[in-house]
Amino acid sequence: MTHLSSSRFKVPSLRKSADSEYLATILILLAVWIFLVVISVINRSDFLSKATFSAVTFNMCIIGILAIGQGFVVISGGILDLSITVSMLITSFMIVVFYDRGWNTPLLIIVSILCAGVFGLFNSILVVWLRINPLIVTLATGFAGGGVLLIVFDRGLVDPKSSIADFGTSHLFGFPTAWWPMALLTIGAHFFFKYSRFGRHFLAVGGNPLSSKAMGISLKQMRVATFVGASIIGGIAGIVFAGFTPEIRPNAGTYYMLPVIAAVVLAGFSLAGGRGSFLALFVSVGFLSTIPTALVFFGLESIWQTFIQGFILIIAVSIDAYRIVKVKGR
Amino acid sequence: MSLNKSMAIKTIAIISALAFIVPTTSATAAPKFKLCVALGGIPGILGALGTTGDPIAKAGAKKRGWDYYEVSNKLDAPTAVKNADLIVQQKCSALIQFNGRPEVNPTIAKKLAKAKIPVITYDIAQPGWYFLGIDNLAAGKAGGAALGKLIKEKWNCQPDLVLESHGYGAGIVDAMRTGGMVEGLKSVCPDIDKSKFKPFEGNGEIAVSQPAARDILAANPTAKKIAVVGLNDAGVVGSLLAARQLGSGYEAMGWGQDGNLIAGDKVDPDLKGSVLYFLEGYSAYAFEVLDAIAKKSAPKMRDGAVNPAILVKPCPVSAAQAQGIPVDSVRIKKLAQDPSKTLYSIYCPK
Repeated sequence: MTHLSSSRFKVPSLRKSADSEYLATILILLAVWIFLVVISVINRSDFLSKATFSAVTFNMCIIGILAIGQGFVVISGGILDLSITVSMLITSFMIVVFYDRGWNTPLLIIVSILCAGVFGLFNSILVVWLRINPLIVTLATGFAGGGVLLIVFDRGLVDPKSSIADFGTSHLFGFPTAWWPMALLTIGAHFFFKYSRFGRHFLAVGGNPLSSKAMGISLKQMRVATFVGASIIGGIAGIVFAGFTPEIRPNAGTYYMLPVIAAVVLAGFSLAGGRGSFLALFVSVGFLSTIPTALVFFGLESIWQTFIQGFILIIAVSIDAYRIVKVKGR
Repeated sequence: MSLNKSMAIKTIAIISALAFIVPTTSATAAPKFKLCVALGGIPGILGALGTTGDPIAKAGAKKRGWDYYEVSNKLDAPTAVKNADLIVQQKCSALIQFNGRPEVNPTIAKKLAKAKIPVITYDIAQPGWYFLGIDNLAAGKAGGAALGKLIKEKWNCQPDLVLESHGYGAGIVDAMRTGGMVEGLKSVCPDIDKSKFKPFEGNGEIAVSQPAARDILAANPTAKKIAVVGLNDAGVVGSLLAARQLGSGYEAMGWGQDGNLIAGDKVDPDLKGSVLYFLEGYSAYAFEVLDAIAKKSAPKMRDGAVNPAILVKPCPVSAAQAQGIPVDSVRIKKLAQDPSKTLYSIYCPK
């Protein structure tokens, strides 16, 4: 541990350069976001309204939480968790099951999220002990998990009179109530990865697993914590999803994967692991969530967002690939 | 010679008798009509019937003294193809098919055509298969007219916005159903301005229709009285929720299609009604064609959704009326007791 602590003090310049890079990413994203808002206002002055604000912040809720979970996996070197929407749906379905059995709300939320955590544990067992590529594992468990949900549940109906349904439509301090978990998770993730030792272990493992191992960090433990943690975060998205969606279908997660990955890559998270800012991720989610609303103001259907998000993803991945090549070339 | 003559007469008599007996015997030995059923696939009632079996088809076959064989297509294309081989092996006389993986239907169709097995398909058209489905245009018009009456009563036919939650992927079905709803609505309120109708892609799912509707509402900030029509209940409910999410200033009401979210005690308060299709009772209609096939007088092939072999009559119900209709499992049991009826005749409010 002493060795680890001392090694940490050897890299302040690297951390400083990373911080300035993150700041630059945030500023660029903010500039692009503001530009989008400005041209939308020029197009139609009523773009700046309470309804637009609500629409955008509601758009952010689920995508934002899932992006934090995905960012957690990416930053820790797990590449991507393609089953994170299954974690979300497991929680949503379990909420319905426990609610119908008369459980009280706090208990059903906790147990439902833990169910998602068990799914993450299953993922990590396959990744760590069977040494299968995380991308393949989560792709497979994503399909298999969706299939199991289809067989077991077919669909889940949320009671419109329940507190979960109320959570999905109410407001708190001017924002949708469902927006706050995403905002708090963003702040929590930022401080966790920047200031806690455990958080920096994830960054270290993601950036350079061999050096981390040499420093005494257990790669297995970190990988397990990564997938369990990501699934739990996915489970938190499941609460919001249950609040938004009175009829839960096992295939509903498919609509979130593209914007979530686009948000993570656009925020500058390296798919090679070890780098990324959760504050930049917040801005990235905000920008991507504004696009569909702005499109409608421009007279286009919000369905165009898929095309635009895909396009942005290609650009962002290309920039990341260029950055990796550049770093390797040094 | 006389002996030979009498023998010849006897022989002729025996042969003559045999000539009558043989066809009679062969008719008795002919295999019984065998009804085969392959359901299952996408989530929903027809998908669930693939797992649990189809009691209506089974009861109808039993009543007619037919043999019966059923398999589940699950949500799996290879299973559906493998099932086609089983159907051929079983020497089925006719097949009721619902396959949620229609991309393999041409392959299945070839196998079944080779074995000369006629097919009745539910809701998914395939050339050469009798199409059985809901009368989508009538369903749309009935739902739209019902919502129109409410709009006339409550808003004097002056909604600020009419959200059309389409599912363009459903092609002609969406055009007839959602388009029919607009037509039905206009039949009651003909003076609603064209600009107030806002079509959008809702994909028949809450997860898609809700954010899309939110964005449209944001882009129309002065609109507060919102009417919603759509391809199905989910697409409509997603839009109704979007209005509630944006604030208490909105007044919204919608009328759905398919009845998926109108029954039971978890009904959205702004979903004022829906159109029931009673999918779980489709097989009761299928016997119209099956009986003809069994009598060797198969009807003329009508294999398209536009020109179907059998049209199922839609049943518009208000949210209050829907409370009096039992859930699908109870309805199935009731119909299985007398498969000569239809769920429409038993449950649709007069």
